[in-house]
Amino acid sequence: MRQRLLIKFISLRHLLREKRNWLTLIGVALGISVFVSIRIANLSVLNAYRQSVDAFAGKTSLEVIGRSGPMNENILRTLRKDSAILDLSPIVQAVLPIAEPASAQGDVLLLMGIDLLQEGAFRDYAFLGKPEEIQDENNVTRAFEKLLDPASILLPESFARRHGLKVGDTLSLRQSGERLDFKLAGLLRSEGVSRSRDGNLGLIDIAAAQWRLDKPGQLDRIDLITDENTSLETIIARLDQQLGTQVLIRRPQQRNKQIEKMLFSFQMNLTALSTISLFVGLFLIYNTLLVSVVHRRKEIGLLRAIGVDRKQIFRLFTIEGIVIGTAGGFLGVWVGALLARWVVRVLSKTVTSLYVSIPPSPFSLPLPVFIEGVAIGAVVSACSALYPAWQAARLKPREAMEGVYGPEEDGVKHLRLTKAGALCAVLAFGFSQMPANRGFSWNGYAASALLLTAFSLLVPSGILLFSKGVHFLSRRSAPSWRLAQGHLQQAIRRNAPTISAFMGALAMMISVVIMIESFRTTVVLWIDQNIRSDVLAFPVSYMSSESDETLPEGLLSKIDAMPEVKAVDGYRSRMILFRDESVELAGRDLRVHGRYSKYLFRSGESEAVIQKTIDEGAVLISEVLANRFQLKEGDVLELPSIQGMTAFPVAGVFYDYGTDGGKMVIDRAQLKNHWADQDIDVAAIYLNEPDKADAVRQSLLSQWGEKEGLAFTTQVHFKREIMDIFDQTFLITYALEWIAIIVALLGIANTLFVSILERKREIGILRAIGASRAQVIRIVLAEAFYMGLIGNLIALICGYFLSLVLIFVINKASFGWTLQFHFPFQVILHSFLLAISAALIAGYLPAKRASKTDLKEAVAYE
Amino acid sequence: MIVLNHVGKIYPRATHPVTALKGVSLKIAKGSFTLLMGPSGCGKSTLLNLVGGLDLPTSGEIFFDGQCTRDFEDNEWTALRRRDIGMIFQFFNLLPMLSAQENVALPLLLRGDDTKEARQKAQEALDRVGLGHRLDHWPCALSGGEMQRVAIARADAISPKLLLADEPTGNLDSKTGEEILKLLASRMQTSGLTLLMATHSAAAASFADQIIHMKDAEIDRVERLR
Ligand SMILES: Nc1ncnc2c1ncn2[C@@H]1O[C@H](COP(=O)(O)OP(=O)(O)OP(=O)(O)O)[C@@H](O)[C@H]1O
Ligand SMILES: [Mg+2]
Repeated sequence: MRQRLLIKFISLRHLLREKRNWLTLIGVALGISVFVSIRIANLSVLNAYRQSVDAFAGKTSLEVIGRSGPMNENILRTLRKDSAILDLSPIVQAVLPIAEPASAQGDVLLLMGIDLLQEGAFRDYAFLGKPEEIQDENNVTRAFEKLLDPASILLPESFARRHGLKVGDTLSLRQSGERLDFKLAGLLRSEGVSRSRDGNLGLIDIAAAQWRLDKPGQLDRIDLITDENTSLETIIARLDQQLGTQVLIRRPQQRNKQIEKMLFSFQMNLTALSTISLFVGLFLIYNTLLVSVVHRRKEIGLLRAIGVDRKQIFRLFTIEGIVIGTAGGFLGVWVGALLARWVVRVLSKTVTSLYVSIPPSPFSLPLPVFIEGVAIGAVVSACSALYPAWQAARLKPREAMEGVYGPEEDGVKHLRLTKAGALCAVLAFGFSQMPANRGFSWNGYAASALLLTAFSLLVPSGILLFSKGVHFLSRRSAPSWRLAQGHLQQAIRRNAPTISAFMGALAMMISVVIMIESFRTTVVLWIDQNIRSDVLAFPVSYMSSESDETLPEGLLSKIDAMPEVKAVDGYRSRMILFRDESVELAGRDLRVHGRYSKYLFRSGESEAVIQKTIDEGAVLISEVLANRFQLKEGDVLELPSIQGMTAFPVAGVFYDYGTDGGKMVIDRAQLKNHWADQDIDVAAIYLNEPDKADAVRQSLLSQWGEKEGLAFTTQVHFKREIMDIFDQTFLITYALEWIAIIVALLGIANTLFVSILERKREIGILRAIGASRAQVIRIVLAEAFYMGLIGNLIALICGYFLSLVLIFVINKASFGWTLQFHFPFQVILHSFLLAISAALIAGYLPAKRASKTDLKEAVAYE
Repeated sequence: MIVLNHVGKIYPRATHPVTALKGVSLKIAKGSFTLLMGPSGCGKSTLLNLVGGLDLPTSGEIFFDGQCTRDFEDNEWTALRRRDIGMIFQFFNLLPMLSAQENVALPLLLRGDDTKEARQKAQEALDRVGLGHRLDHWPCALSGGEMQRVAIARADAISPKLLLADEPTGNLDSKTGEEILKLLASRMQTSGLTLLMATHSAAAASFADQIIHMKDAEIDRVERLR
């Protein structure tokens, strides 16, 4: 009861009256909003992915896929004999670019060839055709009947509507430079499968698909519905024996595990980044309350003197913290939801280009996330309120009411904090040295958190050291510097959390910049080594998505025959199953590649290793793949080919930053021999006169050109395109960092506001003894400058170590890449510019306010 | 030195404005020691603040050394305080993070004096108040009387023409208060400055040239002692 009185009379008035509480509120809200938006975005991307996967899996309990690629349809006969298999649905599919209607150009469509008689049992379809058919319960079969014409296709209503297609209209896809025309035979209602991939999906008859996709007698996948009374293990074991090593039988979920694992690492990185803002917000509340305690010492003393007990004081401050935190949570959730719209969009795009096609996810603010956001606000603020509240409760009434207090003599305390910081640093080192397990790098995250803690603990000593140094240096300079230094040192306890928060945000920013720059440098180096061809030819759809489109047959030999061309390297990549996991297997003309270009090998010289690969019919594997499967040079890999298992010795391990799961490279002759694969995805063209690249490109373009959906780019252009994709990937990362820094800036502004409130009297005296307004402004700005400077000095060191963890521990474990460490020296300059201008901006309003202090009040009685 | 012409001050208050000064007129001669006395709330501090430019009058005008200050901007007042007006307050009002010497040197530095020179002058000023041996002490390590002496040294360091003191002995015991008064009086004699001091202490009367008695925001009577 009495507590309520206190809250009503004391807390509410403070909370409402003091403007700086709004700064805190906004800061906390921003911090939470970042966290919430990443949560929403991650969830919705994952949901969208799962939904589309589930819709595709339908009632399928097991699926059969070929290990070396498409499998022979003879398998169906064996499967049909198995009594535990109730239904089976063979599928032939390809993702191909759309050539017509024009409005869909640039998009790709998943073309699914299905067995009409079987398919209905597996997935949900609903048809929209002519009105009378909708009434008809059996319209599924009827609609399927229409597909018996090999040129017929069924499309989702949403797709048709988007592109203005009606039944009877034509849809054209492109493959190998040719058009595949289809007639729209019926519409699928946007339900189930039709909703996935944003409706970019077409159904045709399986026989038509085999014919039109040039896969005679082949199947990409067979879905099975099995008897529930027989365990899947039994069925898998039995089928394994009957079908041999050519195929893999697995649950549909297994296929997604691999992708989900990669998605998880990716999303985990984002979540970790977003918690930074949250932490900075936490510091903000902590700081605000700590400052309140100092500011309200007298009030606390008075309250204690009139009979309020310790517990009540403690609760008073805790509740104030929770009020700010919860309000911040509410606000943050809404802002986060708004922010999420943008994040979701960028994220789907990035995930699509990196991992797997994600349909644009519908935006939503799920109730659990809403509750979570508010709860985080409340809990985080309660935690950060504990220490300040304890400080308030601890004050002795007499002590609290005392007036003058001098410079803090906290030497012992600083020493203790420094020791704790050193301990954290040692622990961080220990964690970073632990062996990494691929996937989630918990030790890396632990090491980063410890590093940040360590450097935060070092901040008080850092301020002391800094201010002593500045004191020495500023002996001869303008008095504003000396005064600002004095304030800084006098209020270490108040300034330390602010500077820590700012330091933390900056350090993260710096480390991320170092990481991205290292990554960038590595990638640039890598493409410089790898992409030496003067012109590249590939289908237009190659850069943008997971299209199966290949180059027209015969293109390679025609290019090779051109007089300007020195050599052509045909590149083809396909998916095979290695140790039951999907792996990219690429074939290329290694002879050409070895002569004119190179791979960066972990050990060994490029030309020699490549020669050895050709001579011995060996395989080259990327570093990521080597890490993923614990492989090394000299190992012999059993790869599934059309002849069964074929052995390939590993001739070399090369660095590669192109694909996420890693890849294997063999000579293209091997791909022909063992996989009967003659297709080409990319042609790397080397010219006799490299500076004629533009002219050659023009002439290629005019010969084949856009009509056939071919792109010809010069080396420079191609590299730029790769770097654009690279930069796009790190867009969110940068955005997240910026927000963390803004939150930290609010902290600085907040601290300075309080500090000038507290020093009203001092400012009054300064003015009375002859300081001008401008001088008062300068003093406060100088203090802000110092805060920015110290924050940045410590952040640079902390950021450097963090970047090591990021590059060599977290990144390595999450993605398997070895990056060359590259310290971009301009980051020092940039960070100083950023930190100092930011601090000055944050200090400006408080400084302005300070200069307007009412003098007579300031020098009047207490 | 100072002339006040019907100076009035009304503190605007939403409910009922407070009249702190009702058209006060007075003259203070160069080199004189004037005491402002009167019951609490009669407007002493208000008057001192107006003369020091910490606040502006609502009506009337104040002349400083023949200059009319009515149209003074903030920076003109600042300039005046830097050169000509020193101030001392009841609460000793030293800056806690500066040493005694730094506190005294500060007004000199603020007006742009050379560092070395400022330190030298600060030392001399502290010597004069008998604290020459405690240059590097922090305010929190000084007693109330010592702090007030540092404050006097600070006001004195700029060699002002006018020294304004608002109850400088109000927070000190009577013996220490007397020492402070003696110090101020002796500084007056050696440097020829003008001293205007608000006080409740009758002991100050023995040093003063005149006493202005105030009552209810007005001058009650002026008592000439010398
Ligand atoms: N900022 C203000 N707002 C409103 N009224 C004020 C303000 N400052 C002073 N007053 C009023 O002006 C009148 C004169 O105050 P002043 O401080 O000048 O008195 P004083 O003579 O210095 O008193 P004391 O001897 O107690 O120091 C008082 O009635 C006071 O209440
Ligand atoms: Mg007074």
